[in-house]
Amino acid sequence: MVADFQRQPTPDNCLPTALKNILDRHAEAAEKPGLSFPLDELNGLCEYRDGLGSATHELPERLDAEIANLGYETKVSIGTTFEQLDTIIQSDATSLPLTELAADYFETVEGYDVQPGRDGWNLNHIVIPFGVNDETVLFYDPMEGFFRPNSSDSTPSSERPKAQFYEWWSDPRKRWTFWIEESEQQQLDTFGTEDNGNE
Amino acid sequence: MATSNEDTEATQLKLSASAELETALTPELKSRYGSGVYVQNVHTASSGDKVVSLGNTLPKDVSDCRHRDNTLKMVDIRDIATLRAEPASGDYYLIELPDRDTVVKGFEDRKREIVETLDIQMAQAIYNDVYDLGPVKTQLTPILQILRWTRNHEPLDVERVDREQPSENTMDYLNALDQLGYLEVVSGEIRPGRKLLSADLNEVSSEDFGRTILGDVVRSGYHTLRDELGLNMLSHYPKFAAGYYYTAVQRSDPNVWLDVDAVKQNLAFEYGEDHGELFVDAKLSELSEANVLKKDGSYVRGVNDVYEQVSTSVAFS
Repeated sequence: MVADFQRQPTPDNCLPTALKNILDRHAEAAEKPGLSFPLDELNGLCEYRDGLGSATHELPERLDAEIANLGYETKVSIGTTFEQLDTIIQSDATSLPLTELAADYFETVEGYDVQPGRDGWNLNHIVIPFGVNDETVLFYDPMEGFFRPNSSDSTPSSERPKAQFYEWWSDPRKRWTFWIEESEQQQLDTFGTEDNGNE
Repeated sequence: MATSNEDTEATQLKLSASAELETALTPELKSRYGSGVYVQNVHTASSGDKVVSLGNTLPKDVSDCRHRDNTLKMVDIRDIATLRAEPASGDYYLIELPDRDTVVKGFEDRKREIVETLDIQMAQAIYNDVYDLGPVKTQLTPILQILRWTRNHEPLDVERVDREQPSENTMDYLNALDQLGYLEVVSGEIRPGRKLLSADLNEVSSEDFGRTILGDVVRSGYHTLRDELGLNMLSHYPKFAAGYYYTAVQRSDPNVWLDVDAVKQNLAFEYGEDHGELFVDAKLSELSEANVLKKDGSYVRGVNDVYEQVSTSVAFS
């Protein structure tokens, strides 16, 4: 599932890299090559600045301007449930979702060691969930790939208990979730998705 | 609820005062400015406004390159911006949010300040060690000659010094050393200043005079010598040393091994300078010969004495 996903090139580039991974994957699956963008372009859409990371505030509007002509639109959901997350993951009409996890997620990472700052844990992190099981959530952490630049193995997926994942997901922005879907698809409206830019 | 103000780039945010300000504000900050931006502290001004200081967490790869321990350090850069939350009727706070460019500038300014502090601490910590390196000695020779001549041959005619000193900047050096208190130029004559006459420097033997006096000048006049007189060798070697110690201090570990590429990345991020690998490797070798770093093949690690001097003054951990 995540074998072809890219690692993030710098420690604060999780959003553009994760976005590239879900767009590339959906571009290939849906045979819509126009949905694939160079990382530099996504850095611009995410307002990425080395050291300050990315901002999501204007991302839906900016990305919509790039993908609307392909019949796609961005979706941002607040208060997302696991059931909704699983539906997004399973749907052929949607990309995989991005979720934002609270900084204390880093206390449990496996492929690398993280030391907190002098003011504690303050950096949120973007990961790509791709499986919701009865007890656990499977996801791809692009930071783990950062520390495997020369490995011929693909970055292993991460797995955490659902309750633990739910806590990290709930803290920063009440289970913020981001994905793209075909504009004609309406079935996800029942999830209470918001219009772009109104997160 | 956020409303745009078309007259300025700032946005006014209206938040319920019933929730804790930090809790309510943090999601907005991360969405607008970056996922590492956080509320550093909140205090109440005499007007009743809440003054909110913002910090930014910068994730930094501080891995030991030799042992490949895959270590990420959350480096907190404090005081990148300040917001003011004004109590409004209806139990709300009104907050003027600056645009992202303003916050980016605040972050870049703070980062520069930290690098500048590291630069100065580094220069002062390793001055004695790099004094014998050829380029440093060559560039500082005119200063040393002026001080030595003043000590041994006072009073000196300014014209004579200007004539015998092969530097084009002699008058600038005289002026700077006068202002820093090492000599006095009065009516065309040069005499020792209060610092040159101080017991510490006056009693130094002739052999140790150069190293001691220049060490003192570097400590008290670093900015003037580097910025006003263009003596860039003062910051040249400290900069390459800082390319290593920046990570060591962030990791709180003077024994972390870095390779040339890791030092190159620090130089690029902190100074915006892109040097070739061979060039950086050569600088690290020179610093190793001067006992500022320890080098083993393509890896370098710190020296405890140097680390202790710089780590106490640099504001991150």
